[in-house]
Amino acid sequence: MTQQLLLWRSIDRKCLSLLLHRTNTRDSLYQIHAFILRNAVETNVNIFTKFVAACVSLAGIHHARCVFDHRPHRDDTFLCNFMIKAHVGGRQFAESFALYKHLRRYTGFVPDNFTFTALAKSCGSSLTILEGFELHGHVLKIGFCLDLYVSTALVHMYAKFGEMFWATKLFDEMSERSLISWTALISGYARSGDMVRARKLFDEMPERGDSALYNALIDGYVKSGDMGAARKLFDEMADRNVISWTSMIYGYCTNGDVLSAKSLFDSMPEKNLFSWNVMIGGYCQNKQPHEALKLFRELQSSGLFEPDEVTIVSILPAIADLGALDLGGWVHQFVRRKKLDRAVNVCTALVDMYAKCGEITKARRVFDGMPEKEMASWNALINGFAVNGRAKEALEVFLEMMQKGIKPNDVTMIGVLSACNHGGLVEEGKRWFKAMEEFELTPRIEHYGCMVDLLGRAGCLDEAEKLIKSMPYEANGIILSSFLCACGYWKDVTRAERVVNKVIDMDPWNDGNYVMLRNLYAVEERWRDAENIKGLMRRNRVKKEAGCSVIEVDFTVCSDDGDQPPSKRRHGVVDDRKISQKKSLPIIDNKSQPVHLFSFLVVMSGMLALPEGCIAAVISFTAPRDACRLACVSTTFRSAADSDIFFFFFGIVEEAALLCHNPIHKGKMSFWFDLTSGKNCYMISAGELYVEDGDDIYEWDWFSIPDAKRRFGIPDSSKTECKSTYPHKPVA
Amino acid sequence: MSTPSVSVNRVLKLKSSDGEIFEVKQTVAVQSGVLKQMMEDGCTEGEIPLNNVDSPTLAKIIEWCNKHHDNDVEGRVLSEEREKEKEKEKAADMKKWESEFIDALNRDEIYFLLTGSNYMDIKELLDCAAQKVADMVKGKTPEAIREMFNIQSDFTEEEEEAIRKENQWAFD
Repeated sequence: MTQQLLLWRSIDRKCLSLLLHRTNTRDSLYQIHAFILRNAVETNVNIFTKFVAACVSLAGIHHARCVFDHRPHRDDTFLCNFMIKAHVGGRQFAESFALYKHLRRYTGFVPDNFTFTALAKSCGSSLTILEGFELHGHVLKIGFCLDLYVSTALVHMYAKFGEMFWATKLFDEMSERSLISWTALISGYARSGDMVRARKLFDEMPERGDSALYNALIDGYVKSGDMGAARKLFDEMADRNVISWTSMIYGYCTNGDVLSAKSLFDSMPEKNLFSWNVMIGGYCQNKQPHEALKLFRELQSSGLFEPDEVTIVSILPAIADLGALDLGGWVHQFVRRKKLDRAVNVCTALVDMYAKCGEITKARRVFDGMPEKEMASWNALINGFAVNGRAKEALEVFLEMMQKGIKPNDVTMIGVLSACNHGGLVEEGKRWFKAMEEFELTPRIEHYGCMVDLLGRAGCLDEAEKLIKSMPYEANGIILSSFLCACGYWKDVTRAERVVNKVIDMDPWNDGNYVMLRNLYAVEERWRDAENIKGLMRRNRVKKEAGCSVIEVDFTVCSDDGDQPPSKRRHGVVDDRKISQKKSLPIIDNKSQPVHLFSFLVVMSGMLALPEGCIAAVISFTAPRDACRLACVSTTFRSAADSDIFFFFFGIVEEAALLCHNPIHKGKMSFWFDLTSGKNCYMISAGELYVEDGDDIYEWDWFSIPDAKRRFGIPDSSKTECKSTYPHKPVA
Repeated sequence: MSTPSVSVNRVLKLKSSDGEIFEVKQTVAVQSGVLKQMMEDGCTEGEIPLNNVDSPTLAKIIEWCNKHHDNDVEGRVLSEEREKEKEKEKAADMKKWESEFIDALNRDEIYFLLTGSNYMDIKELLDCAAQKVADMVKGKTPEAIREMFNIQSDFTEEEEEAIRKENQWAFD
């Protein structure tokens, strides 16, 4: 090169130094171009290639190609290879081929080994198998088949196609092999799931593999579910990198071993966003939404990485599972701020989250704002309407979807059927169930489950039972117990008894079934049978699960009873988390209450937060005067003072009207809050009252309320009259 | 079905929020509405976690329940005619014991007792504790109460103004 430099003209050297400037911009690039044209520097092909390279990085590949195309002689191999590679690097695979073809046809371009490695990579990445074969033919014809690099690239290409036969054939024909060739072949086998061959080759290898090879093998084992082998390799590995760690974590997560995953995650020397995403997604998959949220918060507070699309898509199901709407709203804001709301999958996850949190209007709004929609988005919305009990809207969306010419898939149909189920639309349900054939969908067991539930709830027990018998699947525990529930609801003991043994055989741990039948016997007053069931429960060691409700306090979701996973029994007919969460409805309902119950928690004496009930109890022991003052302390106190609990403590609600016995107007009037209308009422003292029709002593009577003083908190020293008259007149 | 299967010698294991286990006779535990419900449902086997109650508070609550329970049992043994008289005496004793019990607690302990009894649904204890706190707030201004309980007012100025106006009489 230095020798070559000496042969160059000074103007060439100057141009080269200009091109090598690090501070070049698009504008300075144009200036250099002008300089080149003016001094005819383009005749120096090396400088010209350098210039094209600068064009690719500064002005885009299109501009570079224009410059390249305007060159009269385009037969220099180095230059052409560069252009082809630039296309491959910019993922313009078709362009790279077109260029090769064009150059071969119209110019004197002679390809070399670099040309073919680039083209093989292009084929492998774009998975164009036919071009791949053509390329192989070309290689054979031109005679590069013995070149190490070209054949390795071809092996790699075939491995990517999954054409392991050809890859092996080519590999066997190779006269010399490098580590890269071995890696290409072995990872090909690993990727196609043939771990036996991959392992055999791995053991045959003359030299030790590098981290890329190990990663490929670990990935293979992980995908085939053999975590033991993966772990062994991982432990053997000398230079583990972040990819190896992350694929191990991924493996543990997909195989349900979150604990191991987490311990690996914690001991990772360096983490990237993928590792975080995998771990968060793992918690979600394994139904530990609390942990997922915790980790998500950790990720944010660490400030190392910004959550990306994948993070968002993995965290949203956890939010939906917990009904952590506030956090969900925050994520939505975040997505909007980071402009991630263009991605269809992010939006779909948002729709799903809002729907499952009960905010169906917001779900709809997100859906309507989506730039493009995919199948899953429609499904999320339909299911959303369904689980929120808005059957009509769900069906409307479904019809809208069909009008747009989108064919429903089986998940859509589950949404539609469960919508009919929640809305009690038996005929509609039957119609769409039948229509599934028209959509060329075979009903799966979940669809039968929905139908059985629908018929059962509507009281068509006969039909439901027939359907269970006629379906091509063995009835599962979920279907049978939903049928049992229906029998319970319609008080059909005989039918219930018929299924109950089968249900208990299948699903002996489901407490609901026992309780169902027990209650049914209790209604029929068959106490002995009810006791038997209790005995059966004891024998099978079934515990009645305590109910639990979930609320969100300051972005943290609390469940009513500690460690019970709130999502444990929330999945109704289907076990697919995407679909039908009907039993989660009460949980969504609970969401509307926390405002009163917990989110106004007052921090007392540093640590302690008193629930409103407690405060109301305290207030009930104070005098009304104090109660009114307490109402000014904070919102919790105020709502406690205004709440029914408070009045309940004071006595019956009507009497509460008297509670703020407050002498104004020289003791002749008093006022109180009217509970029902929320207005201030005034009471005129008895002595001031008269009856319009005739103010006669017979029209009324004095009577005393024995504990009036205590109840109204009137100090003993007070001179206030402790008598009340009956016709007291509230004036609003 | 609704009669709880309470036997005298059966014992419940209560687990406080900090993991300590307390053993309580079923006959004592029925005073708590929550535990009573659980007994009726037959799900009291093993430890019953009480996540909102720490062990000092739980100890206090159990002390209270035991005392009240003993009182009830003794009362039942007595003969009919003396019962009324004795009852009165007992009630007075109990009142005394209750007030001593409550007065011995400091402010934090009372708050914990309040939440604990609210959570476990023990009406009498809740009333007693609430009475105590109520005595503490009687005749105090909102500012003083806020200071006492370390509460930040979450009203806006206008809101507070409006509420004060509404309850003006209480401040006169």
